[in-house]
Amino acid sequence: MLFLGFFVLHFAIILVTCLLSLQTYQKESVMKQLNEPAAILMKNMKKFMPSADDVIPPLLQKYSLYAFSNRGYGFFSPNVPSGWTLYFKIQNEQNQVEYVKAPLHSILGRERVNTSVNWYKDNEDLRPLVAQSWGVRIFELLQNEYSSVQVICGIYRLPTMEDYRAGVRKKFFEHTKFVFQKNA
Amino acid sequence: MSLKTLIMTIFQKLYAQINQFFFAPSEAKNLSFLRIAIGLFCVSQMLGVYPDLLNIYGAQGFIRSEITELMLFEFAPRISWFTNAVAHLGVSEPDSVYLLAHIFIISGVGLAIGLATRLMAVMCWCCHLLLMGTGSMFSYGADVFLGFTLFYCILMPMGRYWSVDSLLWNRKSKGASWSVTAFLRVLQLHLVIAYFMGGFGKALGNHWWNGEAIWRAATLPQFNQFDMGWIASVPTFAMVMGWFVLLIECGYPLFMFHRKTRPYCLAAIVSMHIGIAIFMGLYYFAALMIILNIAAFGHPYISALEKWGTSLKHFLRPSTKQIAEA
Repeated sequence: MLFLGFFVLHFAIILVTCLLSLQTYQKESVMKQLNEPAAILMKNMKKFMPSADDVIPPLLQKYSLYAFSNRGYGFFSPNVPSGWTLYFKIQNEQNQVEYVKAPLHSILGRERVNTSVNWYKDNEDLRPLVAQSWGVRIFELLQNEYSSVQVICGIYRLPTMEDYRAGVRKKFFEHTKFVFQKNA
Repeated sequence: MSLKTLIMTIFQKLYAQINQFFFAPSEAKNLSFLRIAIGLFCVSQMLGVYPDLLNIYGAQGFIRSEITELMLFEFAPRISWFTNAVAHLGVSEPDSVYLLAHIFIISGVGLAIGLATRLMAVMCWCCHLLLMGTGSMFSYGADVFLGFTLFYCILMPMGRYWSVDSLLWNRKSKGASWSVTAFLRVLQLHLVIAYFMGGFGKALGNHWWNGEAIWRAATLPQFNQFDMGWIASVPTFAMVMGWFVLLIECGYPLFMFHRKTRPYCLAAIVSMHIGIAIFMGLYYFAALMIILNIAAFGHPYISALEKWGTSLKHFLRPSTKQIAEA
């Protein structure tokens, strides 16, 4: 009985969370990426979809957080997003400039940072704060060798296969930029 | 036959089938394989990020703890809980992060060898919760899958085979049990939902149907491992690969629960994750997904591995009977 109780509750939470995660497809920006039948389906579902807070009581929300069952599973869906990226323009006392990525020393560190950059896509208001935090840390790490660190956060617009064949290549668009300089 | 009897027969058959599906006694070897693999995965994951530990999880790391905490729920676990708890012992914040990492590694080893299995699973889960909270900016799919697997490890009977626990205390608990089947079904159903929802979400867009998704995934600057520009000149290849992903993810529930298609689906899923590792550089994510798929659905292969291990053991240490025969 204990197992059945756990099973029903646990999978009810997972299924409800997964269904509610479909709400992300109902955002205006995502809706444009859907194919026609899916867009119609999502528009109609919008009328019936409550928010997660209304459906899952607070205690079960805590449970689902601790049981890691509070996520939908839409990896790279509905489409593969454009590549957000973060890099640093560093300059030494002799005004020599270098462009570098985050100084990471492990494969998993790189794996984590590379997957995290897509966070910038959905969090416009916190983006400057996070970019500043990166800048401060990079400046702390490099200040003995470099006098200025510029944090550049932006997005690569990837060409379609057809455009690529026609000679178009990926383009970088800057979104956020911060400069940290050593005091004279 | 009356309608009532017919309905009763249908319900009885249904009940018997559900009972058989969830509670038919089975052996715990899949779960023991999962225990060893997840324990080792936790160790390798922590060792894998160790050189960057403070940059990723430290309060003064790439993302300052004040910013991370802004993004967390009030009740979400975070390293600062641990840091504050050990601060009374005179442990500094950076040292507390290293201490937590060491506890995670030790618990991972404990889980892998099956020493105080459940306790080690609880410790791994706690460490993972704290790390994932503070490192939420750097957490990704693999952390979610590892998180729920560790949660299941606490509940599952995992220490019955190939464990120190079974050598020391639990000799009698070996053998078939309903709880093994039941928790194996939990893991299987969770994977089924995850893959199906992943596939369903992909099927809603255009990119997975026309091959653009494969092209983009292979050429995204942050994941780009090789020059994959050649894909653009064979769009049919990209399109077929996109359909392949849709087919195996949306069809995962059907193919995995059907005995005849299971080996092919397992091979296809494993190949897909190997592809993700090679072409996108997501080695840890791929390794974890392969472990979970084999643990959940790879029973014959785990048995084959065990037989191979036993023959190797006999080859290295022949029994007296074998020596006498020789």
